[in-house]
Amino acid sequence: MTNTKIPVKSYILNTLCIALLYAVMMAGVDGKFITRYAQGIIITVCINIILAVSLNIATGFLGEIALGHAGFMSVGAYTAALFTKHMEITTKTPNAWVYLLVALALGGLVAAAFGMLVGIPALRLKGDYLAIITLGFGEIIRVLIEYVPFTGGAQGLKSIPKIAKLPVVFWVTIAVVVILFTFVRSRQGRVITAIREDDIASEAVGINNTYYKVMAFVVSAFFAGVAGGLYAHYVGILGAKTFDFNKSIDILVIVVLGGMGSLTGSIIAAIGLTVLPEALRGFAEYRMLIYSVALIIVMLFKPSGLFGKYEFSLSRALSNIFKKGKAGNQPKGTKGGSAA
Amino acid sequence: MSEAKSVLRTENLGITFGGLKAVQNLNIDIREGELMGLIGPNGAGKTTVFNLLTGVYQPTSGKIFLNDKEIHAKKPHDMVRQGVARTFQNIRLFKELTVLDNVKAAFNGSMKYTTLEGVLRLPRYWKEEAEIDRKSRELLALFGMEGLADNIAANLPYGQQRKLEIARALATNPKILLLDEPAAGMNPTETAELMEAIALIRNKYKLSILLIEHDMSLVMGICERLVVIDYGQVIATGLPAEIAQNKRVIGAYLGE
Ligand SMILES: Nc1ncnc2c1ncn2[C@@H]1O[C@H](COP(=O)(O)OP(=O)(O)OP(=O)(O)O)[C@@H](O)[C@H]1O
Ligand SMILES: [Mg+2]
Repeated sequence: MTNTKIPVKSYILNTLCIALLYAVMMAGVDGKFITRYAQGIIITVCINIILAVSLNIATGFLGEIALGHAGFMSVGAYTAALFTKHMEITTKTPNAWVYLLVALALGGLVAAAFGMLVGIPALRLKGDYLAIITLGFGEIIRVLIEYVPFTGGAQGLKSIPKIAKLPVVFWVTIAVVVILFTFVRSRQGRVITAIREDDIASEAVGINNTYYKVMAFVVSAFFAGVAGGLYAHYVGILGAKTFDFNKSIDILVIVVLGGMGSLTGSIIAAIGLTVLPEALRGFAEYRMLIYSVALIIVMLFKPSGLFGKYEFSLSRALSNIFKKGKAGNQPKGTKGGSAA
Repeated sequence: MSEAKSVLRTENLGITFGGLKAVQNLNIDIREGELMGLIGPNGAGKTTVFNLLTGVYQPTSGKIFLNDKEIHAKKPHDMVRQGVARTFQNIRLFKELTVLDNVKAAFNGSMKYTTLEGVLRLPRYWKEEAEIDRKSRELLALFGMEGLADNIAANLPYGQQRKLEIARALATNPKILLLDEPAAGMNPTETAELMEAIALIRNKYKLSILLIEHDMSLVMGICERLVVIDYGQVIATGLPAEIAQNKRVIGAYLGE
């Protein structure tokens, strides 16, 4: 249901809302309501949102199970970190965020290149080859990182400038979410979901399945790389072990829980599954248990995930409220003005 | 009829699965604007012919000519670009997409805006999306389905799903349309409506149509020429009236 006229009202509304969110958040930081610790949680939430929405493109919208998202994240993380280290960026460098953006773009591109390398052979075939190949990729990349010298090997890559501060992380996350929303609502996104629905029918209406499947997977890998770049510059130290199979599964759980094919769901689930374990910090070792139980409950009561394929729309929600309000005041039942 | 140009022609086309000769020595020639019926009993190889003509299967023998040019080992999406569109015997829609998006997805080949233009919502995105929206609704209106545009395809009644599949095939702007038992499972009224719609689109788009139908009486009415196959081989070709009298055809249908 793409709108074919520019929905100006909805654009303004969403922009205002995001600006408000940012203003409140920064006021909280200035007023010390949001502590350093809380800022860290928000940054982690943001990184997890990027990881989840990007994986959702491959797994939810294209419908291919991918088990190596942490692998693409690590490629992006190391690439971005090596770049800023090479440029000798520090937290004191003026406009360090500009270098960070360049680093993120590089991290995304290298991750995307790996995505293409993995995706082309796997996605040409029918069946769940991608699951197997991405699983292998995730493990191989981890071993490779420990093996090659320039990644710091098993000791890890240290003293990465911690330049991923809250504002830049926030805006990058917003940008990624907006980009992926517009992506899935363009002709490319439509074709990708059509392939998921029926890959024989999609070929039969002239869609080059392999091309669009690889496109979806590469987009997915690119943003996993971006998330990795942010992560590297937030924690300041990288070890290959961080990006193991469990990490890939954690991201997959967020996507499945939120709803495969719903970006809104991924965002909500990413927030929930990041904040909840923090709130229950005393039970850190039960994290996997909480994940499993949450997943089982959702699968029992709502197998399509919390949001299914539903997307939240602010302008739609408001116009619904608006209409209801009006209907109450309009005994004659004339048509209420409907907002876009 | 014989002066009309050939659109799709086969020469000794055949395919074997293991030892089974599903189709052999098939010679058919569909002309511009022609409505040809392909009939035959269960398992005769009709759907297999479609799969050969649309690149789903690669023939083990023989040749296919499109507009008198031989084509080699094309993938299904290439065949669509060349103007060969089809529907499926067991309906294949994009089930969870809306009726409108089902048709729009098929217009993808005629859209040009790049991923970047789409993501950044540049002018070409708005222009092409508006155009495809209009065209898709027009196509739906042709089948009396404009009011269903926002429904999920899977929720449509059976007869409407069949029509949607045809509308979607038309969105690829074909020269020839292959319909695999489009009336299967429809009641007589729905069938009559469908046949009317098929006649209409054929005139409007100057299409050639190859129609598979199980029910001989049904195709007799609308097809100009019939090809009858049994056990993968053509057993008769000709005008409906001739076919109705043909002893081999009657035999095949009575199961001799
Ligand atoms: N991919 C395949 N592998 C093996 N055998 C096949 C394959 N496709 C079709 N066949 C066989 O080829 C023969 C012809 O099948 P086809 O589906 O073309 O018949 P049909 O004329 O369309 O029948 P129906 O009227 O039942 O739709 C059948 O015996 C079928 O089992
Ligand atoms: Mg058949």
